[in-house]
Amino acid sequence: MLVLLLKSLRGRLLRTVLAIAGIAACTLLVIVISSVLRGVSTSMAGYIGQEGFDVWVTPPGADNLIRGSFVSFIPLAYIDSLRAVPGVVAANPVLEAFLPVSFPGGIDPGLRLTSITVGYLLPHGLGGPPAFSEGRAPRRRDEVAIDRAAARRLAARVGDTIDVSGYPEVIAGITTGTNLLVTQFLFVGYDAMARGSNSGGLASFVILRTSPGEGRDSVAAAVERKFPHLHAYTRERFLATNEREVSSGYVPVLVLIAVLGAGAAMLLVGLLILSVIDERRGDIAVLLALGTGAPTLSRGTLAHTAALSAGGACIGIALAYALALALDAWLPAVPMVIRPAEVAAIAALFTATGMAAAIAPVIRLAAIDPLEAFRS
Amino acid sequence: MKPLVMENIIKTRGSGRHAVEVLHGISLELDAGEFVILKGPSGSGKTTLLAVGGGILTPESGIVHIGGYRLHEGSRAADRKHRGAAIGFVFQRSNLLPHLTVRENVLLMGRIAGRAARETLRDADDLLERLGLGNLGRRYPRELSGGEEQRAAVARALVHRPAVILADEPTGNLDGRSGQAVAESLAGLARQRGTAVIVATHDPRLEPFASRTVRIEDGRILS
Repeated sequence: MLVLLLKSLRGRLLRTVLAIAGIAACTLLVIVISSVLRGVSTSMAGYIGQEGFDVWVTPPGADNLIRGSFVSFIPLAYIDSLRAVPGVVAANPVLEAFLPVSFPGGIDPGLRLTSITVGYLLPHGLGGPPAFSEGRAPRRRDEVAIDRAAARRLAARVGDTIDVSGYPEVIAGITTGTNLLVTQFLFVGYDAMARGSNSGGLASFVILRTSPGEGRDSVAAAVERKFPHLHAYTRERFLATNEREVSSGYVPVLVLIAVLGAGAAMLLVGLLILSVIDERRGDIAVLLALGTGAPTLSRGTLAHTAALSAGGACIGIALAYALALALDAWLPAVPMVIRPAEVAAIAALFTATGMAAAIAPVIRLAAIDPLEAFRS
Repeated sequence: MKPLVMENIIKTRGSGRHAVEVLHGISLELDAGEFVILKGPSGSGKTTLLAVGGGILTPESGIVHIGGYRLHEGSRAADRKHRGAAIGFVFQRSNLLPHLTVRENVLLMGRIAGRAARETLRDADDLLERLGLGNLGRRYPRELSGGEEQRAAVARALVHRPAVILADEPTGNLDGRSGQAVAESLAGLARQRGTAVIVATHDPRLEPFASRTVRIEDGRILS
């Protein structure tokens, strides 16, 4: 039966190709959304999870980087006391705010980006960028490190002078793994940040480095005991709260798009197979009359729709990998991180929906009367 | 063992208030190698009788034996398997599957019947040769004339060496020469193989081949 259907579809090449292309497009759509979310999470993890960022101390209500800019601050006067907590090796303040960034000397001087700007103690304080694709970390008060996608959008390079909230800053380095899709990280010295955001003497967060062998949980607990009005998160817990913040915005949209994509793919496959069965109704009646069982024909139809769906999904997956490479090269503003396990789950979803799409055709097939073979 | 036995067949079509009894207690037996013509006006029940005899329709009452196997007593799958192996069909149109070549169409019946592939291949090529289609096996049905198509359908009906062939107006759509060729092929090959044939037809060209003619009218056998 599978051979018969395949041969039958060969006679409807254009329709078959269009249906497979539709499934591939739906698969690609779901993978892109999923991998973009993964890209944002990876960037978040890449920054927060850096070596030495062991405990994040936050003011009340600021349990992630997004809220940290708006809610409240920690006075710098607490730094020495935090450093004195047993197990703490270093305590560095970080100021964070969403600041406007432009490149007055660039191709588009009017373009203004809003960057999640992090001020940390230069040159080697905790809170700096995780990795560079070019250049180095800022060393002076008038230097910055900017994310690769933001630099690409501004058409700025190492050595160019950009405007950060009204202050000229020279790009010392281009960072990677710092793209959150809707915004990108920008790293400046703490002093410059305090000046730019009128937040002198304050910190959005304090990052603690613990001594080797000291448990992060015990240090965090000790901080909270000593400063009951502050919160202390281990690196893992702080990452989890940040991912929750990101997911709360993205995941419902992702699920909706995945459902719509799978639904569209299901309709495409279902319509294709249904039309083949309707058009080949006479042939199916002949097969039934000759002694082929309806279950055999149904199994063949199911196998065929599964093969069509899996084929479309595989093409979609291949396109997604190609797109990820192309975006990384030409449009780094859209970060895609593709995880094989997620891709396998998406392929399974589309294959399963394809098989579900065969239900209506199989019902139609079961209703065909073999006597039709005599009536032609 | 008789290839086909039908006893007291009662068959109703439709349901509820629209139910109509179309076969009223028909009995019919075929001997091996017998060529029986089933004659009767349109609507007399010829096709329904063929469908019951071929196991496609289940009668309300009565018994159908095909090659000694009693239909409708065991599972559907067992019935399907048995009738696939024991019955060959020739329809008014060839009903060859358009996306398969002539040879593939013939071989397909061997698969449906569960015959060994090697035997089916040998028989298929032999039958196509004897039916004058030896060089047309790789062609698709649309590339054949009506007569050639119907001869290919005869090959399909015979390839699995069935006990009985049920044919419904097999020459009805063919011109004189083509119809004659199909009739000769069907009768000649069936006789050689000892296959019983029952043909529902109005075509007088088939009468010279008949060992018996059965007349049916209003769902009853007249003679």
